[in-house]
Amino acid sequence: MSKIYIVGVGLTKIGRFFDKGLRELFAEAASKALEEIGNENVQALIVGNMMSSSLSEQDNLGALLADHAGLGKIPAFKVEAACGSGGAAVYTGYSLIASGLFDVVMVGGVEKQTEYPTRIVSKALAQAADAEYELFYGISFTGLNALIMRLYMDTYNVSRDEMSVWPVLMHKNASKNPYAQLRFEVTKDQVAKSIVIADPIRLLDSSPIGDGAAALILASEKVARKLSDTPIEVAGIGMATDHIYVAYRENLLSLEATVLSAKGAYRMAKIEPKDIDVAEVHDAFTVLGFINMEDLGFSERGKTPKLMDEGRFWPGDKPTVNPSGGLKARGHPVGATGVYQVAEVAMQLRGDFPGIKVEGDVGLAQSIGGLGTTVTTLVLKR
Amino acid sequence: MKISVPRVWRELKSHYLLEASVCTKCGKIHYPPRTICDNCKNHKLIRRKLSGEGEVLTYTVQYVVLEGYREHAPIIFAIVKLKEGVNVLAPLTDVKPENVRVGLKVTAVLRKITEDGDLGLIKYGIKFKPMKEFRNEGNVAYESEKRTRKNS
Repeated sequence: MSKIYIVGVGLTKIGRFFDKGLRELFAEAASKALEEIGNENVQALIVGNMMSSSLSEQDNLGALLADHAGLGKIPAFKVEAACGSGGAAVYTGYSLIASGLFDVVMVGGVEKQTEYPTRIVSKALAQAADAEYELFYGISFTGLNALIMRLYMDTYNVSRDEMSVWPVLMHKNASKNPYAQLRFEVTKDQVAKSIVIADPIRLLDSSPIGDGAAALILASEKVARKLSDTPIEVAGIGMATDHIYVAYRENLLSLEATVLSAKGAYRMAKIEPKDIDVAEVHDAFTVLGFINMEDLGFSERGKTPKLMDEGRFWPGDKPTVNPSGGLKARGHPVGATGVYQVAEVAMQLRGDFPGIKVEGDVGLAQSIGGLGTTVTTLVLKR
Repeated sequence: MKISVPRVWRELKSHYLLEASVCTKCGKIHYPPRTICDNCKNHKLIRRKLSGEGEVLTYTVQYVVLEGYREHAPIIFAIVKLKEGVNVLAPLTDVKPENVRVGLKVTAVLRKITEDGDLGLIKYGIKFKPMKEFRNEGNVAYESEKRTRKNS
């Protein structure tokens, strides 16, 4: 199979933008990405988005955004896999080029969450879970993750303070990222004293609600060098799913879809976890950050909080994890997040990420939908 | 979203009676019930009521609740491991948050889950209550269930 490259990226800052809707946010990211390829035409648009239907009463998002971003009357559609929509959109865009149907495809991600108060946004987010058997009872997404966090802390005997190293590092990294939503540092003490959302998850364990859009331009080997001087290769890509009813899973402390998708991506790229220089992993909640590090093969089960406390995975270490600040502090514009992660890793490998820079040739991005229900993992190479 | 009559009716047995599907070939029990066995791909499954007795595997006290559940806040949710070895997610009731612990023995009871405003439908389902010593009738969850609907 011939190689596929990322030839352009564009991001908006993540935040509360009362003056921008889905179309304005997306057009901003798309125009930045198009500028990188000299405003050449793209042949198709795939959009990752979760909640345009539930929060903005907007379906048919592909057509709306292709039109509004001035892409012409090209094939365009939305891909939805809850918080993993972005990763699934990249997977789809990649497949369209790999199939030989197109040479240049734009993959976008956009989310507009700040139209409504938290209880309504949380309800829309909770639709990522099993509607008949989880959401039915009123459990939020934070609630589901809290069940896992308690089990993680009990099983591996990890204290509240040891868990807090994740948000501390993420906020520190995000404070340097101009695109990040939460550009301030926090202490372990502040994490431990922040309000309880769903015990033991506190506010500072949780990713924020925000708006944002990201765009990537993928190109076939045939045209990549004509469009960019610094194309980044998508060397490996894997995707997997798991039981949506979380309680059905045999092991609640590992997300099998992460393990399987990463295995696929590593095999395709012919690398191992130790070869990764920079990783953007899905940390919607503190506990997920730690479990993902273990499932991706970067760390041993239950040992990650302690290792991170000792300085592992901080800038300068290999791999450096979430130099963007992660979902925790860069922000989590749900369906756009997976596209942000891939764009950030591509920028790291090109050497032009505007925040904390990581030296290296190999990067990883992991996008999760639901509580490890749909996972896409990518390996990028310079 | 409004509570839909056919949607509630369709899931009655699994929600009210904790009815699971059982594979006629490999014997695997599935909750929520399935159409096809995920272990052996068999399509011939029968329905069986679960005991409803088990113990708390993990739990959370959810303070920030979703639209429609405010009168029940805070809600204690647990994954309960039933005697049959099947895990079920449901709220706990008749117990104070400070009395919940991993390993707590519980049994399933039918309770109100939520309702469509003051005049709409009421949705019922399973909650788990402690079997003996930690049952507490003066707690928040219990009180909220006894609360009568406001006059509109």
